Amino acid sequence: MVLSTVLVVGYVAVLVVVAVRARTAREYVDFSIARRALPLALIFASLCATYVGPGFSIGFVGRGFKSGFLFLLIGAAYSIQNILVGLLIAPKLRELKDCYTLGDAVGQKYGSRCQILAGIISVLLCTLFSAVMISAGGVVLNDIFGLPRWLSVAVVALVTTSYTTFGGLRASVITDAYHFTLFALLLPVILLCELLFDFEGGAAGFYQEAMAATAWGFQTTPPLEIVGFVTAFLLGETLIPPYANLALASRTTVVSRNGFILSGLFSALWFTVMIALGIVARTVVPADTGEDYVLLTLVKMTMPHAAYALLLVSLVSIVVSSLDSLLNAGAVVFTQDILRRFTARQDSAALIAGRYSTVAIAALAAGMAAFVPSVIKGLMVCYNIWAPAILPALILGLWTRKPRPLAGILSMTVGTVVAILLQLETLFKTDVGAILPALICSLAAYAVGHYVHGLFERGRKR
Amino acid sequence: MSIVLLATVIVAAGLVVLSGLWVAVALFVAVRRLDSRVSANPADAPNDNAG
Repeated sequence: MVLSTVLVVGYVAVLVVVAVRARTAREYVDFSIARRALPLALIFASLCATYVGPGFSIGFVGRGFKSGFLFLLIGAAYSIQNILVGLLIAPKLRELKDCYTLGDAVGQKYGSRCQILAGIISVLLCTLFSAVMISAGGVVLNDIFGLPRWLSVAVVALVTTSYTTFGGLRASVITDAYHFTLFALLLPVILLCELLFDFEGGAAGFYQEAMAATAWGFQTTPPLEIVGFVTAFLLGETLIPPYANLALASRTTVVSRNGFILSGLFSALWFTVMIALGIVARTVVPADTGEDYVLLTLVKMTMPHAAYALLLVSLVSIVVSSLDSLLNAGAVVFTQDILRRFTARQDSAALIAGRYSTVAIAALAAGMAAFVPSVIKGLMVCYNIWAPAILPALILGLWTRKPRPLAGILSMTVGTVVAILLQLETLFKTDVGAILPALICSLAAYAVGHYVHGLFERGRKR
Repeated sequence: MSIVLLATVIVAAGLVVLSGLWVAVALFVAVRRLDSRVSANPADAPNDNAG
């Protein structure tokens, strides 16, 4: 307990030092897009630190434990998505002038009504994602100190909000790099130690365990469920506001492209390490261990207490690094896409609005954290809404010469409404298939809007 | 086959560690650059409310 406390206090102390060194954002352009001056390593680290949340760490180890390399194949969809975004979308976003958010990009293509709609959807999603992260952070702190749930949630929200509010995107990115370093060094080292000192059977034993688990995974997971997972991994997190803000804040279009490509390649390596940890755990951890507890139980049973405490600190950092990016992105989107359409047009007013928005979103998300059923279920709800709501309008808008506003509005509205309705029916069943029908409806609505708007235009010309 | 699988896992772990080290160096450089900018322009210094 004393060692855990020392490590957590040490972690927070270094975090505060790093955050203070990142400086207070004094201008809106600093707060929102860090003056578009972020180098490749920081863009890469921040992207990775944002997507490696509880699901891609604890969750993947649990999946490796139960179903071997099946989830590496599913995770490959996520890696491909990042690489495709890097090749096709991120440089195009970075090329746009005077663009602070994804909503700005949508607004430049479809007009200000679409920008406000994209802003509302983005803020809603950032708040939901933040609630999931705060809830996960609360669970970890609760495990370390035995604090009441409400207090754990409050500590996670307060620590993250403090530096994000003052430092904006630059503080978020610099602290993300610190967090990334922490978990990118710790978790592979744990795997290597397990393989060297605790795993019996050598290469043949590892292969046997991996094959047995993977075969079991394919036997027990219906093909339709695999398709649902692949779709969710391919589209669910594509260009969510924190990633879009990083694409826009990159120093150049090349940095923007390479940041996403490298983070996609890193995700494949990271998933391999997490799945391998799950496979190693099969010979150590009791078979009936809950998926979310495999990593913690493995380290607790085989490593010195200090390593267990370090792992817990690392898990806190995994949560905090995702949360700070979401809070900053939510605040910038709210200010840029909604408030600035009506008020706060001056940069100084926008900076103050951005700071207040960070606090407001964090407070709202902390309140909602109590209602998050589980990390995976919470994330699936977010994924299922984001892809149909925004992606068709955004991607088609970036790639067509003259996108029509009605197509954008209809696609976003129909995608959001259908996705929410499907969630209401399937919220507690984790039906990952909801994303596909909503996406099809959104695309159909886009096509209808495009056609009808074309008819109006032709009618006007006559 | 089993050796190849284990070697792949170990190489992946090694590359993740290398990424961590690369970012650590980049973080150090980024903070040093911010410090030198503050020396050149004290208006960039952190205020008392930071962090």
